[in-house]
Amino acid sequence: MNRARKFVLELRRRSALAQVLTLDKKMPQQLQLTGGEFVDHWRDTLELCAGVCTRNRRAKIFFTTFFSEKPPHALFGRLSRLVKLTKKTDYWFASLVRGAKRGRTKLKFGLFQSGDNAWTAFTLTKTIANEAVLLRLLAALSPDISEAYLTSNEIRSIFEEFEEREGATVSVNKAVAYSHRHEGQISFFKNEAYDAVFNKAENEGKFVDKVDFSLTGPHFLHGFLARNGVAKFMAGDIGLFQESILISVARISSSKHGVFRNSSRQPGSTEVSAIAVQFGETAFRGRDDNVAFISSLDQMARSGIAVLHENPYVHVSLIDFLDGSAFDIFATSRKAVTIVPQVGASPFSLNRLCNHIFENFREGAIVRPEERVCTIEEVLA
Amino acid sequence: MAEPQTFSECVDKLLDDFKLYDKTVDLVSCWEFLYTKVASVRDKVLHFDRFPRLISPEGNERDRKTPDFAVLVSDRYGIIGDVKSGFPLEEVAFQRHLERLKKYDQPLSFKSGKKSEPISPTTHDILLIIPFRDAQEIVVRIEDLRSKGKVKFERNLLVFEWVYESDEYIFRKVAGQTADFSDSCVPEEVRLSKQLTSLGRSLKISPDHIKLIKATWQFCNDEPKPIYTIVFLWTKILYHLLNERQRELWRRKNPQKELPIDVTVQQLVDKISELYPIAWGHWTDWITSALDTLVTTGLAARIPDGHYVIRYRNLTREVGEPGSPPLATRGAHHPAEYAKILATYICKGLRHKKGETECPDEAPAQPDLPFGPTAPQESAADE
Repeated sequence: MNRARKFVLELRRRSALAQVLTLDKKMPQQLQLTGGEFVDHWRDTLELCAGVCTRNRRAKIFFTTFFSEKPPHALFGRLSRLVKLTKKTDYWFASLVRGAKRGRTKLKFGLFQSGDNAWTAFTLTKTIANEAVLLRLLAALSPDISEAYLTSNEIRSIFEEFEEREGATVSVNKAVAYSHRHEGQISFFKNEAYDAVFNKAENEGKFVDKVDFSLTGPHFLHGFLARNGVAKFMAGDIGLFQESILISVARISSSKHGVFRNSSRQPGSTEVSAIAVQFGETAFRGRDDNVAFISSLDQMARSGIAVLHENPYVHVSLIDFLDGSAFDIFATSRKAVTIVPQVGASPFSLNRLCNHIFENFREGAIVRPEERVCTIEEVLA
Repeated sequence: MAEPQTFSECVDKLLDDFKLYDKTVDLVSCWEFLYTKVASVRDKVLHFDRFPRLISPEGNERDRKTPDFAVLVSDRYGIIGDVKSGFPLEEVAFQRHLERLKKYDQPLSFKSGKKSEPISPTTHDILLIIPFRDAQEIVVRIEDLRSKGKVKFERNLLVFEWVYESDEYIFRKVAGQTADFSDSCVPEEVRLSKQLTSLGRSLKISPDHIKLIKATWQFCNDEPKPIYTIVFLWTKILYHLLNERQRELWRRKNPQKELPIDVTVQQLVDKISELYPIAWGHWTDWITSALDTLVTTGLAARIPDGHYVIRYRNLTREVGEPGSPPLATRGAHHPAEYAKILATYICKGLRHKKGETECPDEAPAQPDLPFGPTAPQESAADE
């Protein structure tokens, strides 16, 4: 039943994606970068790419941000037969050789550092296929990398800052939102103000997954932003896109990655370091919510759970078989869950787990809780 | 408790055992919280010992006592705590259980924490911590036996009841006891006689308080049932025994693919000691029991020279699960939950061991064994 549910969910998500792509017929299609535009500096390269987008409305620049403790040459080391890296002045130029006839089909992309341990890969393309290739390539590097997941609130805050700083208006051309608990419920939005879209999604208990947006006012920008840190530039001011979208994505996800880093328990240590996911409102009212939370953990792909305590509080032990990360997960308060990474737990897996909770139970803020000092009066009745 | 008769009863019994151990871990963690995390208390206490092995000052290691916790408050006073899930009410069994507590009624050496040498305090109290349900009756009967001279303790035996109320564990000294804490020699902040006897207050400690303690230790000094140990091994230890090639295989392919792990009891104990500082438990016995149970389930095989080969993988429900109402109800919520999956494996293995006829509607299908079926004489169930 569980596998069937996962299958149905996956089908529905693919279907939703297909619908977005169908709607995309009016949107600019993508164009593969020929390689000539990869100049010495990544900002200059992006300017050249944006020029291509201006001349060819089917072209777009595809960006995906991720976190890695290793620099690109070390990160791509185990894929050196597939990916050739060239160091430019302030970024890396990469060439992917793929397909049965090597050397005949190539994807060229750039990699620049967008924050502390944050890297952004970009390519100019007109095909979804090229985007998928780049995402699959990066996925193959897990668990050495973590995606830059964003929550609905974080996407919303990027747009809010955007409007405040630029004195412009952000409108949503198209958006897709999913339900947290009731799998398969999808909402589509077209041509609405961004805050109306996010409000509606929130009221319906959904999270916004991807947004195609436009900025109008003193500046013009047409772009795309998704929860998995993917951003696309279609037209307008590429400098503004860098500052307002790419840098924000890196900054917001970097702060979370900072919490995830070094939270793993050291071998042989009696010290554990917890992180908390704070929902900001009551998420656990009783056993039904406990069960819903445990069921959402149960659906995390390539993982296994053991329920040590279900009610009145939740304690679950979870192992992520992608890299062996183990966690103890507690729901001991009404508004938050606590995750205790055990020995060998990776930031990659912690990131994956938190995003899974956000998408399948409820979105929240990730914080490192301060140790509470308890007084004797607090434990006496 | 009657032996389980049906497959469903067997599974339910294992799951109850699993939860009972977890409950004991909670209760011990509450007392650890009091003595290690409450600011005014922790500073006045020499050491809280979660895995005590107490011996008398003249005794030897073989005579060690293993209560659920021991607190060395000062070099003059200590507390020994024993958590019981219940206390028999039948007369003979009642007295026998009471007599068992007398092993703590002698001078004992406590771990002293920062001081390297154990300390035998001038006196210590014995705390019996039992569920609220029968606590009052037990105290009445203890007092009766004391007054008749049928039971005599040199030190104070104090009965505490616990109950879970309003999202908190509440501990109260049961009313009607003549015994009290002999803690007048310690600072007022850690004098339970004042707060819990004179003022009649209770301790209230929430799961939110103890969650990090629980995540740190995961075990207590009681011997866990094999299913509890196996869940720990499966979620926290065994992956670390895979080689890089095996890990890469799971990264690329489905982790439901079995990967064999060849290991001895000692290697597992060493790995646990390396990763988690809980080697103070009685790991050799616990791991042996867990591995023997895995052999019974078919998830491991015993091979020569004390080695076991564990068929490690992500356990899922494709093995099937009994359809009886109680279990089906539990299964509806968490279909891929390890404790339940392992319970079905164990009960299936016990059935095979007893030579019962397989019932496909109730029992999970026996998976194919890469190294041949488990020989019945090799199986060792935790019966």
